[in-house]
Amino acid sequence: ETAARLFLSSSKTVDIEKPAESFTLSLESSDDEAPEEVTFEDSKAEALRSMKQALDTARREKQLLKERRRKRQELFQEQKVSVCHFKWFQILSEAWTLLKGKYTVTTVKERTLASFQQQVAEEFIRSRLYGPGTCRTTNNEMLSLQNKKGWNKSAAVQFVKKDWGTFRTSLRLMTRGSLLQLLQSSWCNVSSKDKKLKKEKKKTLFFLTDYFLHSLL
Amino acid sequence: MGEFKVHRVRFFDYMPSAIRTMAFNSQTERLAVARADGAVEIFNFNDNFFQEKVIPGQDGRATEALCWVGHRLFSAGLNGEITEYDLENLRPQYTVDAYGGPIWTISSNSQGTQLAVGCEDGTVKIFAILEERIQFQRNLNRHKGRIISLCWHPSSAQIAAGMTDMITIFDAETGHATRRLLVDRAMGASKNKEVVVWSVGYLSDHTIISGDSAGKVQIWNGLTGTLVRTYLVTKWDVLVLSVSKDESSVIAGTSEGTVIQFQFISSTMDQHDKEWVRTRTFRNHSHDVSALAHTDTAVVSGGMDTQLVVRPLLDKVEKNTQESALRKIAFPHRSLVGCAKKAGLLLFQFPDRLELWKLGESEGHGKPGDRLPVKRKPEKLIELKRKGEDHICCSALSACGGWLAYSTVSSVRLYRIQYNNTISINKVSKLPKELRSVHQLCFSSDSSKLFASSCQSSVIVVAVSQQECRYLHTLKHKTGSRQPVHLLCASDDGKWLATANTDCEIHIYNLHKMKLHCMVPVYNSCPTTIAIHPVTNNLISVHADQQIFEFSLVQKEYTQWSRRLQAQGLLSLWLERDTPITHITFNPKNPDHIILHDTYMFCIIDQSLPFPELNAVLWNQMTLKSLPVSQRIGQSHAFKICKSFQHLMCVSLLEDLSLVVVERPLLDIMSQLPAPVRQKKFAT
Repeated sequence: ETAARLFLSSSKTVDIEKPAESFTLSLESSDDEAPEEVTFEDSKAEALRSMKQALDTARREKQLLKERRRKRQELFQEQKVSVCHFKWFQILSEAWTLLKGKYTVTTVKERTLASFQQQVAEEFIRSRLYGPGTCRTTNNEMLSLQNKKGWNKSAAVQFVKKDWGTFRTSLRLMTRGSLLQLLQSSWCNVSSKDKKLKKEKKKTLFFLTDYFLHSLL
Repeated sequence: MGEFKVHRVRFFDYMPSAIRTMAFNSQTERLAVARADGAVEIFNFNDNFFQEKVIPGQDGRATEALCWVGHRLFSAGLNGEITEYDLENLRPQYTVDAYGGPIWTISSNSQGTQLAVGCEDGTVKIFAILEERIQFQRNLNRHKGRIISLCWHPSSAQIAAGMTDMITIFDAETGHATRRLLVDRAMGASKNKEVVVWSVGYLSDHTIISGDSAGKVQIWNGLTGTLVRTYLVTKWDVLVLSVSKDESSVIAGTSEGTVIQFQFISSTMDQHDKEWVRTRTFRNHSHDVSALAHTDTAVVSGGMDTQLVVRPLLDKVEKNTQESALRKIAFPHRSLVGCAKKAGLLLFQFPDRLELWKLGESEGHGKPGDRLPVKRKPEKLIELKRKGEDHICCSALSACGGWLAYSTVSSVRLYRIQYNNTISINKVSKLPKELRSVHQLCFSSDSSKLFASSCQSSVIVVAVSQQECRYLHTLKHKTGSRQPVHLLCASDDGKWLATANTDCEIHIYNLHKMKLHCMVPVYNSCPTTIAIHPVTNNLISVHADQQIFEFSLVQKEYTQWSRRLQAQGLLSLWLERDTPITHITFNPKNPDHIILHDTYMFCIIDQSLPFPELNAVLWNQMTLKSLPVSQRIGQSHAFKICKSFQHLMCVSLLEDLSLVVVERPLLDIMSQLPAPVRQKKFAT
């Protein structure tokens, strides 16, 4: 029964394998003759072999499928990130023009151990409630559903400000760490031998992140 | 009644903060609610759920848990600190670093002698509660993994701590872990995801109730360490639990926005075989429920949708009465909008900034209901960001628009604004040292003085001028009340100042003599707004139970109109409103008018007209116009209601007799909340 189920499950991606290894060995024979006698040991070995083969095939197929799914996920992730990157470049360039007018150099508070721990704790909550696998939707969708299921059925909700309930919200849910990573990766990676310049760049990066987080969150 | 040109303002982007946790004090009938921005609000459940006190938040406080010990309020947060609040001065009294990393939970034992906090580093720390402070006593045995929730056994001998994948029972005396209850992970795909025990309850009979991230509520026998019963109540997380005082009912809040009740009842008549049974499900929230309180008669819930919901339990209250109605508190019970009537300016108060706007101008006239073309759009003149970590507590704008002041728990700031071709704002640097711990601010009508309420309901009076800000006087009352002032208003003629505190006392000061004039007889419901009539100098006060009084400052007694109103009684539709009146204003053209508003309506009370019958229906003006003239006159009574604008943050009347209505539709707030869970509904 297990072997049969395995055949059925793998039938989606692979051509239905002929159950060529049948459990009875057939020889050329006439209709009158009785079937060839097969010993119990032989048929048992045969059954075990075919079952093992079926299991191996199923396992291989599962691996293949998993690999394919992983590659697809990675591609989507990259696409998302590149869109994000692009959007960040846009925001960054906007911010530079804003800052250019009233640019001041400020020293950022040293990140203490306590604030780092607090960050970790906040990210823990966010990932548990909003992270992958938490099955969330947008406010737009929820309100539209309410409209459709309510007593007075009405159309889906469309906000005047297009970014309400969508991208902006999801940005807010990105953890601080991942936002920082994103900024860092989109920051021009000019390796600077000058330690002071590198430090200054890092400080400006933190300042920018705080600025964005403050204004967006 | 009159026609008004209405400035319909929808550019106040007010966003309430999510409710993170709450704690109910059954002795004092007060509910403390902590918000995500660190603010703490106190609601009086004895006084129509009035939001008596607001302690402003602070950047980084990240409050995760609240705990009452007698009359004292403690909080703990992800910044690793335990804070005790000074409820008389509306500020943190002190903070103590627990040195355990972020703190997830705080709970006191039943005697009120010890506080236990659950920390990120896996320790449960015990603090002794002393008279004016707390003192670290010891750590219980450290475990690997953060302590997310904890609960004392009523005997104070054990503590149950919820962690990841398990619940540990500690002996509070020795600190040793005596039992470990292993919590199952979710079925199916989430088998690799650790299960977080978000909340635990510990009953006298050693039953432990847990709510976890796999959506389960589990009942355990704490003595044997065995699982008694599992209820899978949601696909998402069970974020919070609350046990009733008599331990017969437990409520659980989920990420779906539902609150589920379990009751300890028996299925047979003889009451012997009681067990925990799932009974009711309440669906009053659109987003995650992260805070619960189980009072004797109601289920109080709050969460990411920022609304506080009080759901009376119908087996504990009389049905179909005011008492049994569902209450949703979505807006603050105080005004966050200041209006400079002469200059046509609006001041919006946010926790982190102030915004000064100039109202637009329209041209032409129209019929009621017409929308006039806008000649000049409203304009944001100034955005003033606060300095420091403490959030803005109160703010004020002078009537001429030339002076702006705000205060936090740590400082007061005063600014001079000049309107030439460009707007310029200059901070007044040297402020009198007496201006500390200010809860309310108010300018005099001629913009020459600033009034600031301070500790013990006193009022500091300072003179403001081009050159300097000079301390003039401190006004004090004689009742000995230490409660803070939450309402402050000055008369138009500059002679009177009225204050109201949360002990329900209203004091009147004579500003010419700079001393206490009299105290209004104390009414047992807290005033929600007060105002002094510009012509008659009568004080109008509206209270949390919706009662209205008029007190003559000169005669030092209630007016005839007020006595007549009390004798007649207010109509029931007025008394049944569930949001408080937060602002009163007057009509310069018609001294008989009193204009007031709550969240859902504004009303013009005409003191020259007769009072409505107790069971009168309040028709709106559109409907009244459609009635035949004879009937209309019969309906003509003192209360004129308008419900065309919602949800109201402020209604004010400018000097040019145009009405300013600041609306903040609830939908606008909802659209900017964090993501709700995706519910699969049939046929969508």
